[in-house]
Amino acid sequence: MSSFSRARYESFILRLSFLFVGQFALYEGFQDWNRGRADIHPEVAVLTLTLYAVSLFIIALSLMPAKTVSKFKDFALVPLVLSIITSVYVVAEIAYRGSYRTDVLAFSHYAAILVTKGLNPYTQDLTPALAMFAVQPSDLTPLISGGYLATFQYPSLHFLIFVPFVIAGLSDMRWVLVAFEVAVILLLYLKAPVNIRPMLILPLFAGADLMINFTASSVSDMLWVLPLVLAAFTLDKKSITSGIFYGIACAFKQPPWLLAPFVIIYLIQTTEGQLGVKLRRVAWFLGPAAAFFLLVNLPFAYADPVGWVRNVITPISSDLVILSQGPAVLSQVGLISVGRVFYSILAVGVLLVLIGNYYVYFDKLRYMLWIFPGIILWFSFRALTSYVIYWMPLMLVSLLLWYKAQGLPRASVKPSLKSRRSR
Amino acid sequence: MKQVRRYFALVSVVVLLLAAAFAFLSLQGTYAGPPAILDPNFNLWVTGSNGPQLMVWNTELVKGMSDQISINKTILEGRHALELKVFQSGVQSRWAYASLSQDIDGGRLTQLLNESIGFWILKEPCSCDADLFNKTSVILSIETNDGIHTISFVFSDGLQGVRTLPDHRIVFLPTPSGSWFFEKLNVAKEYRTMRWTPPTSLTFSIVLGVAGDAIGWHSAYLSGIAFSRDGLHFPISPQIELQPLLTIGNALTTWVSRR
Repeated sequence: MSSFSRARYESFILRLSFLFVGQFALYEGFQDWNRGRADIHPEVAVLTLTLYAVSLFIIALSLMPAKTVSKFKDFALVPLVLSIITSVYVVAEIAYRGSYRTDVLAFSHYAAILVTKGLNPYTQDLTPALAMFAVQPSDLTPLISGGYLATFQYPSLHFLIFVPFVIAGLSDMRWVLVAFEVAVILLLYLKAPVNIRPMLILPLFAGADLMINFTASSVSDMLWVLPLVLAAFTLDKKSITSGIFYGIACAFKQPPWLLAPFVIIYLIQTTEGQLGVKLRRVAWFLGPAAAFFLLVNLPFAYADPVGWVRNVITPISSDLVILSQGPAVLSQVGLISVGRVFYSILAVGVLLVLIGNYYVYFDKLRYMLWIFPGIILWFSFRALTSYVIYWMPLMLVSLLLWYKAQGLPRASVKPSLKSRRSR
Repeated sequence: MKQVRRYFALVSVVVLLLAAAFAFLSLQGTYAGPPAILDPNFNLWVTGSNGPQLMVWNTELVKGMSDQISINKTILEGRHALELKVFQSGVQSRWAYASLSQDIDGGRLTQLLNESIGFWILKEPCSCDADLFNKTSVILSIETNDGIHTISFVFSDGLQGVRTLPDHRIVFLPTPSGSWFFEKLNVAKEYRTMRWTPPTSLTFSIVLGVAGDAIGWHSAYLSGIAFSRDGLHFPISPQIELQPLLTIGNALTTWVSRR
């Protein structure tokens, strides 16, 4: 492709991205206008007005002269970030009236409060959190016994992250999640070569669930996404740094744990030399990961080892009911009558098949590892959309690394650097 | 290695499918969903505006200005229990009720219609519900209402049998007072007896009602709800009607056993 036609193509992609961004922000603006009760919340009127204005601007921008388009190429971030902030505000604070819509965030916030009082959340009854954050009965986690989950079921960083914000007086921890989200967007944006910005981040906004609705509904998975994105970006060249970020991700929630065998295979397959060299690289990755995980969890695990282990393995060990958007939905609605054990066997089987195939066909599957946990969890007896959708930023990291590895001309990968040098 | 690469994907997927099929056939009938009645042991309490309240049970209190009602958790004779207490002042001589209810549909309703439900109950030691409709009655009952039909299961010292009114069936369950007693009831059986159309949803309630002249404090205690499949199930619950078409697993099991 000649440099002229490449420039034309990239300009076309940029214009198309502007149209997508404008349309998405318009959609969110309209949703917020509908659900925001601007008659009693005038700030919603201001926010939606601003959102409409930037949406119309970027839509108009898409057909302006190339020089103008190029000058405003980073403007796409404005409508997207503004959409997130406005919509999360409207949904969380107005539509839900500040109440949390998952027991997870209520328990995490309450656990952080307990920590500030010197208590160990793993040994406490967390039900006071349900009234404190107005959690609805339909948002609880039911058990087969008819009871509900009332203990903390995640590693400790999931509540420790909120402790500074509790001390600072923040009353709604969804804004911490929003900060993580914006950081993920910026990270992907900045790591992307200029010519594929903002196109790269658009899949995050294909639907409002990942970046808006789930966060507004108090789904906390963005906490582990950010460190995992950092781990993915540093995996090839900085094993120790990557290991630390992976340890941070694992210390938030359990889904990143499923990556471990695939990351090990990745490190082994991408390291040249004897087996000892390969294993040393794996150790450089896993060592810091395990060290960080233990660092934040050890105080709680040491205080009550049984309680900590019992709580952290709750997703496997407790009698959670089948709740699934995967194959287990067939049991959930009564079409077939196999129980949780079957789906656990299925998920473990899929895990083993993926491990085997990833190792054997590494040359072809190299960049796919980030979606494997989503696939495995889809076969489990609790397969919620959030278990799959949050791997999208990691897939974008992989896409980016693949794109860079394709050996495109340096000029198109790092034009900003080149232009800086020429100055 | 070339040979391994050639067949590994296919072989691994086939092995997975075989293992899954074996597990599927072996684990037929192991599905367990949430019970028909949620929080059956009355464990989930939250702090509401008027003190502790059950979270997943809907509370309804019907009383006069001078009457008092309280719903609490307590321990009685070594059992964790739900305590329903009603103070009837006698002013205006009207009934006072404390009611806890849940709306049930879908899979939970199917389960309700396929099971008997057992209750551990302790009524106050009196025989004041001997006549259901007199002005000094104190009635502890379980009630189901599908929008058209109502069934009242009344835990009674003195009465037994049934009374039938249009769209309302009252079943008296002999229940001695003053000590813990286990009593079972079966909703589906009553629907079958009455030849009523199976419900698509219903409200399940626990009710303590005190008549207007039964002046003073009255109480009743429940300690957990148990479920048992004892063969008294309704023959054509909504879910069962679909099953011949849908239980692929059973069909496979039958096919395999025939072989």
